[in-house]
Amino acid sequence: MIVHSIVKKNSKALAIPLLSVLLLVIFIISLGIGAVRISGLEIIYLFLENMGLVNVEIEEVKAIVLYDIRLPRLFQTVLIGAALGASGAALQGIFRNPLVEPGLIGISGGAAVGAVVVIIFGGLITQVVKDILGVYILPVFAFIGSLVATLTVYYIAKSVSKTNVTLLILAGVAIMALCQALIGLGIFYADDNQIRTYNFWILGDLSGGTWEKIITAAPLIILPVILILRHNKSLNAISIGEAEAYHMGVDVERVKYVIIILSALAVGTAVSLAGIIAFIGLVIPHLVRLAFGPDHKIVLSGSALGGGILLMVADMIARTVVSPAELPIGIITAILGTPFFIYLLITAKKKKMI
Amino acid sequence: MLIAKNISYSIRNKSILRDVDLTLETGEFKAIVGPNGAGKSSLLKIITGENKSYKGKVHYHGKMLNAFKINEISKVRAVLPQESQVNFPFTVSEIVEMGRSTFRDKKSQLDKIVKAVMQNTNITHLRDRSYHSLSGGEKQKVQLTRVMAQMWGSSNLSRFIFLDEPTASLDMAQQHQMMGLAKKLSKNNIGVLAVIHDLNLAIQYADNIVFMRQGEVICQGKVKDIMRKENIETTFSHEVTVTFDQVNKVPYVIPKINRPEAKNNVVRNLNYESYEQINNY
Repeated sequence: MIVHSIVKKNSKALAIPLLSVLLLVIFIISLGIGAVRISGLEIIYLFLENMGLVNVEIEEVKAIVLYDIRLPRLFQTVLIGAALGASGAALQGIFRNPLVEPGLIGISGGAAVGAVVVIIFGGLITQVVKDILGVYILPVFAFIGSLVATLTVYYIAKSVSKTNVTLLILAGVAIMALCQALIGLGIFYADDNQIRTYNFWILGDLSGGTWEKIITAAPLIILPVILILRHNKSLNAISIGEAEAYHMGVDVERVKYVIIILSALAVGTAVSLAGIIAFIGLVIPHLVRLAFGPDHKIVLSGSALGGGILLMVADMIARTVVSPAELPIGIITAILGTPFFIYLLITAKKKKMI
Repeated sequence: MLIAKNISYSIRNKSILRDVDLTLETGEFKAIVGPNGAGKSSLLKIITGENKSYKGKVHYHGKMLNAFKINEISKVRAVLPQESQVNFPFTVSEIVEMGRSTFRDKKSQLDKIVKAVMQNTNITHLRDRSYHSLSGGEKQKVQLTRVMAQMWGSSNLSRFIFLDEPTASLDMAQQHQMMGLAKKLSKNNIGVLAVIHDLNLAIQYADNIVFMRQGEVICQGKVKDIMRKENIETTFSHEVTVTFDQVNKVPYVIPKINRPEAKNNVVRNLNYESYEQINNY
């Protein structure tokens, strides 16, 4: 008992350093893996060479792959994973339910519709709007799309005193189906040059990461994620109950809206980069809670890091199993995530939570 | 001092509360009793600020309730609900810590407060246990400790704690522990208002009692003035005898047994036997 509690306490304190190191390690391993293999030593040499510290003979192609393909791709992967992980944890917190995730309540679907709309009907958007938004036009429309979808789901599920979770999930399923249909419709009417494939949006695709896109997207993901992390105390209080949190001085309604808006921004931006990647936001908060306990101080930042780690691992699998071709990332996350979701459903049924 | 005046509340033309007046002073332990559907919990929800769609006025030390911000009022009053559903496996000390959610305590200060309240309610040994692994009585005690953490420390404001049927799911010993802790709070100059189902528990611990029935206050006052047969019978529509408990030196309410005429002689004889035993003893 005592030993257990000491381990538990230390694991809580070690959580963030541990996950940070793991993220770094996986990042470096990921850099070397793919159609062109680059060894760890070569990576170090290439970095040192870039800083002008050493001069070594390494094939030019490896440097190009490293700097122009792998690095931006991995940065993008980490950003998207962090957006999905942190939002998933925060949404599970405000809805007091472990079955919630950005994909399930319409955030991702709405974002994809928003992005598709911009791409297809871009010609109809007035120049003024384009000038104001500039490169941010895609993430902004994705954000609006996800906000509309999520608030619709939320209002359907909201009753006088609290959110009905069964309704939330059912409404999410309906909105997601509608979003998929709208994406399909958009793609059907678009000419091929304008838009990427249906698979890109529905199954996700991390291969399109460029420095330019990342520089645009990074603040739109990092900022909301940091703001989400700041709500750890409120989310802890809400886990005891909405009324209880209110009595403890937490403005529960405000926290809910803030979390929904921040998640819509982070996940909306992530979707505009790489389409819908499901299940990361569901699985990661659970794993973090299992390892380090349910304190949102750890769960939120741990899920941001863990989301990055898991998505990099999934991406490594997607890049290698059918190499030199590449599986859509969504297939990997769904294969990993669906059994987990079913397990959660069964647990929830046993606990009479749904 | 807390003053609630002319509180009325209705849902879709159905009147839940009618012109209820209630006061609560610091250091006072007041119990609200009454049958189910009397509006006790509704009244509590209004006074604590949870329900805002009522008519009438609620003041906390002279300031209107709706003039308080959510985190301001949380420094003045805390609430123990009937039962809390905790969704994730938090430890006991984590739950207690949440009582300080909106306070800006330093880490060392927070640890000190958590330690002190847990000692106060005697749950220090449960500190690292998962809340889910606790018994009903332990859970309720942890929640009370959390509520106490919220009202802990010195403050120049008068403070109040509201308890909604704090003993509902507890066994006898736990009930008395709970009520003892609530009493202790009131001795520390905190106003305590509790909805209580068990009349005798209310008598044994409260200073003052409010009788409610069908959304109205039937009567309120000091225990010894108000614990009368006619008040209890009007409120609960049930015949009672009020006697005096010589051990605890408080009134004791004995409800009339509503038992169909016993037909089984064996059981009856057994009962008579045990009565005699008690008498002879």
